[in-house]
Amino acid sequence: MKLLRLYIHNSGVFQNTLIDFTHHGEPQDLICLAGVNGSGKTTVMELIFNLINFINPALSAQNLFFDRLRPNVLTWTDFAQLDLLIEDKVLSLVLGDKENIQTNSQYTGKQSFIIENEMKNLIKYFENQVVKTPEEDKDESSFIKRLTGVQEIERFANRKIDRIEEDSVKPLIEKVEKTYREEEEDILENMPSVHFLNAHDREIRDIRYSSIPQEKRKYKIAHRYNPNKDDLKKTLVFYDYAHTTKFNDLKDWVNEHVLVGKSIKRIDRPHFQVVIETSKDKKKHGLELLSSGEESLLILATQLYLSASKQVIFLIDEVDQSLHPEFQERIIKLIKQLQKDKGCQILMSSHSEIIWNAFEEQEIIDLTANGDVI
Amino acid sequence: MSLQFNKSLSGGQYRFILKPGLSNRIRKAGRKKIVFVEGYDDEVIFEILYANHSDKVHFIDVSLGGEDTGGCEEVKQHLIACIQNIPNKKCFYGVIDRDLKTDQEVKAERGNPCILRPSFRSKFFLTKGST
Repeated sequence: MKLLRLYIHNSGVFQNTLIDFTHHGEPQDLICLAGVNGSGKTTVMELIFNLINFINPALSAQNLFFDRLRPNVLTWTDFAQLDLLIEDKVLSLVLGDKENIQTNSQYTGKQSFIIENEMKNLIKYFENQVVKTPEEDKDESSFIKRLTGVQEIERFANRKIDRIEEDSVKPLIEKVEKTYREEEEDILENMPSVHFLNAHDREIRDIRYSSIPQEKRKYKIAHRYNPNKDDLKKTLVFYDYAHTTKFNDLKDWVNEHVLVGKSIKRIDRPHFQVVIETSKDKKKHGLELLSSGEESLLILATQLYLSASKQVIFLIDEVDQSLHPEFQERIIKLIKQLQKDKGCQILMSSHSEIIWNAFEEQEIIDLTANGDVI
Repeated sequence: MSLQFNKSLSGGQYRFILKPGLSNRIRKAGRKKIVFVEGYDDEVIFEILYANHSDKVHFIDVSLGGEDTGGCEEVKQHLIACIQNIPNKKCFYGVIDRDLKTDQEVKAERGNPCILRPSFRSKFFLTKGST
């Protein structure tokens, strides 16, 4: 799965904008969004993430991401269309009126559409009724709150979705739907998905009193990194006991390419600890003593290594956040290598000249042009 | 199709700049006014002179710290290329040395829309909406 184009009408700083991720019509594997603060980099990533979620046949309020402080991007977007290339077909995911869909002559007979026109109002209503319950309404009975939530989930389930499906694209959509139903673990790696690593979530949380995951991995078309659920320590401990070979491969790769002056020694199973050992004096410590830059680097590297495949798109917001120039050089080098090895597509945003210098000019989309001069 | 997406953003915005590294220097300037200068010394001097306005003006040494060729012809070439290829959205300027030009030569160059008199410097850098 690869990003082709994103059409945006009235969403934040974007009025009638087409963002073209291709080079001469062909998808690019590595793309960097540049631009001053407020030029729309995160909006683009949020739109991509939320639109790809439309492929989910069971999409409901329960698997959308809600933030009490920031309304979902779809609620303040009049129209958006994301064109994805999957195998040699195009799947266009549309928020808005069916009348405004954009067809591409290059893919005549190979372009299908999933059109969600009611989604915007449903999310807005759900946010107002359930997510943003005011503090003063705290005494409202939990029964009424739950009832409201259930009613809203039902409204989601009954919404109208328009589909324009070319026969050539139907098998792909059916495959995704089947995977959602069956949750077969062994086919996860070949399924299309998007992984969003938000800038502010790449940190290690205190999970001492929480349980490590034991359930089977479930296929999700759109996965947002969650510092609690996807916590680095939980992930490493889980892979050590559940997928030992993969964990050992990851450990060797991290020790060779990611960490400097220290390495992952082993998992201390009785205490749920990841043991890090310094190279110089062989001192041992846990993940908690890593610096914020090391944390960010290790989280990114682990997530990429475990999930990357040809069908996967990664969205990495502010890839250079908290990283010293030396670490920036390191992360971009390993991202490029991983992309080459696994064939995934990676869209990242960055303010760093070091990161930009690692890209070809056609791979950098500068959104500053979207704003005004000062 | 009722909606027209008349603004297209794609990669390669600065592909007309053949010098590797220069496009990212321009990108680094963000929305600031960009002033091309002939060499590294010029960049340092202008940065000191306009230190109080560093949030509005960005000086770029076209020799990239002496790694490449600099000089007035390079400044003119990049300035014209930027003005022609990136209309409206960014303000580009160039500062070149007078060197040993005679008064007549300087006067003759004033017909060129890219050349401003020295007394305009502080004005054109800092006046909002200046072209």
